[in-house]
Amino acid sequence: MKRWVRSLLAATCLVGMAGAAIAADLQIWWNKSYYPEEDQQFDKIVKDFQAKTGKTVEYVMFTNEDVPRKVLAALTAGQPPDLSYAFLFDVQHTARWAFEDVLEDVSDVVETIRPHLLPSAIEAITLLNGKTGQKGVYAMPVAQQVEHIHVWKDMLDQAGLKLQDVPRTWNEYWDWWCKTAQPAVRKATGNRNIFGVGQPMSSSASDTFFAFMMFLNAFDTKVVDPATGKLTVDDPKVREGMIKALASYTQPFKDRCVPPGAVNWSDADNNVNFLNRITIMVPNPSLSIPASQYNNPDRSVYMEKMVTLEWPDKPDGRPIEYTTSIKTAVIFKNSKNKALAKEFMKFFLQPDNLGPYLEGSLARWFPVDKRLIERPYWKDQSDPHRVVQVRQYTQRPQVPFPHVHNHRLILVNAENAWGKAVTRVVLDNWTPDKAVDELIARMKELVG
Amino acid sequence: MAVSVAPGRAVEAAPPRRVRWSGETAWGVAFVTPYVVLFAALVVWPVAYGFWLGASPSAFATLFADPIYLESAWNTVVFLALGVNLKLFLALLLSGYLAQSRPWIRWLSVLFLLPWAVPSIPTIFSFRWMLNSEWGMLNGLLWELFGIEGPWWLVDPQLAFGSVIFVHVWKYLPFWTLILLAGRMAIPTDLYEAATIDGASPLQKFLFVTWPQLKNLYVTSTLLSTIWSLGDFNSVYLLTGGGPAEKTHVLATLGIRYAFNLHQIDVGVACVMTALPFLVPLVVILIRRLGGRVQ
Repeated sequence: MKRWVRSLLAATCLVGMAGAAIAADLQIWWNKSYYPEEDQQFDKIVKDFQAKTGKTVEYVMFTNEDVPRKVLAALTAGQPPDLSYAFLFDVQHTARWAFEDVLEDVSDVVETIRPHLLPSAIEAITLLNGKTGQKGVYAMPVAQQVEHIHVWKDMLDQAGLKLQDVPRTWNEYWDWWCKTAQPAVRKATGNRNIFGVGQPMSSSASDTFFAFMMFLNAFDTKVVDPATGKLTVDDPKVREGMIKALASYTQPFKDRCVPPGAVNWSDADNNVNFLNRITIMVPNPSLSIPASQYNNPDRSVYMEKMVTLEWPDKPDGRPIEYTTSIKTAVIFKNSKNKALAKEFMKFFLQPDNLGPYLEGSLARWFPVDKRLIERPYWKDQSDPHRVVQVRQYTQRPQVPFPHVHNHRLILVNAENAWGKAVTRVVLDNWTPDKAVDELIARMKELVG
Repeated sequence: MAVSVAPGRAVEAAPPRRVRWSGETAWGVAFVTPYVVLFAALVVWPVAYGFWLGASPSAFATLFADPIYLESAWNTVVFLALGVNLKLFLALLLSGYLAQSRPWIRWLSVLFLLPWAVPSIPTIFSFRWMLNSEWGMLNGLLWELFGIEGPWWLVDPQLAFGSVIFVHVWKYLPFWTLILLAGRMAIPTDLYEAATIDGASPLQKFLFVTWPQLKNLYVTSTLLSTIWSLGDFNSVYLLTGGGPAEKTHVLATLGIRYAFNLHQIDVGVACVMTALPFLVPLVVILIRRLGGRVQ
């Protein structure tokens, strides 16, 4: 019996030692890209880092929605990865995690590139820690995204319409897609199921609130005071602006120029519907739509048929501000190999690594490091989409997401209370006033 | 604890007693230990951890204050009441049809089992695409054949929830048909022969031969299906994702929404735990019924 027990113990120890031997020095959970080029660049960076340091790195890639879910489960179990990056972290988690003292201070990592970062990036990663009451750097900026508009120019051509005919001011702009473009394209194509606008309308897509932020900007509506971080929704002017923004946002759906299924769309569905030529125009918070056609053997799709446009001017004719989302990587306080994770990120954020990585994203993401914007890739005037994108990022006014000024607004994003207000109007036939009042009440509950 | 010692008696330290197990006992322990360890690891630990995660009263307060929870709880009741009963009733009818002894029935049975055998993801996604308002096959056919605009199946909340129940019934009907078919096959044929000699009509045969023999199995199947359907995540999540506007959630999908979309794992666990007062009595009744059958 004794011999049997000893043998069992020995076997257990051997298995345990083997497990320890195959465990990597650094565990990374990373957001899987839409394009192989981006993932291949990340793989190259990992290999280069391993060669340089002699350390082993194990990385796992999850889809957009899955990274936060896996990380959250791991945090609950007390076993987070050493390092993680997700496209949705900044709008759903980062600021809240910083406040809850879940994140490691990474100011030493950011210090290596700080002079080169855009102010918007520094603002987005300088976050309040609720335990210490102090602001610190709790995230590492990788890229940024703003809203773009894409159009099937060849569909307009077929209907005898020209891009130059598209009005520049707000109300006229949306009316044109609904009342001019949609009927003309339907008539020209004989397809009754083509819609003028691919506006996300669901409470499950983050694309809904990305687009809604632009509508708030159009009506000069700031729901939080940047100086104090307090909600401003009790101000009658702010409420009025929210009502106008919601009415404007939902009008195309009520005019039946948004696909009805938009109330169920996930983040990929506005892309899918546009790429299937069900919508003529679509707002989208990255260049993922043209990027998906970059390697299309029919080059005319990318170069001519599909066009990227800037957003229209505000109703009074002033240029609109673009709400910027800063994509962040984080290291957790409970991570086992924090020092090595920081070393990796210092390596990753170097222009020679991060530059090709972002370019591998086929311009879906835009740099936050000024040195990267100067690389030839972003200066290329022959790319019709990138030219517009660079102009949007470098020449147009930008504002941060409201949650940058108050971390609790992340709860409003996570719950997608913005999308809920939209569905109140389009599904429940509420007036925008009533839906905004419910939204304001919910914001107060969540934000305080 | 106070220890009293009798006066005049020396207290001697008792030598440690070594428990010597007989070979039989040791082998018994050795054989039982893996099961105890597995039971602790796979049953006791997850359940206890779940209770611990959802033990916060504030989580329940958050849950009950959320109007989506009440709507989802009601949806769950409707989903179970309609989905389970419709499914079992249809299974009862179909099992009668498939119990016929014609040769092609076997092939039909195999085809009929396919929805249950094929994984949920491709089949339920196919329904999602078929029911799409703009380019789905169903509305396309309605337009092509009759020139009518089809309804917005997954956009209108009532239609969307009806579609969820339909897909649930479609998916799990074959399994329960198979179970009830097996029950029918176990009924001695001489009972039917005797009924035929007595001049019983088909309805009378069903009422006085089939149903009394099948009743227990039907009720047990209904209980079991209710317990399983309470945790049916796929039919809802893959078809509607709980949308539009979170109006088609059931408790299983709402729990996931709280836990992983809203980052409130305690509320997510609490949401699922609110089904326990309904679930536990069902399990007890089921076990008692099964126990009674065994005796």
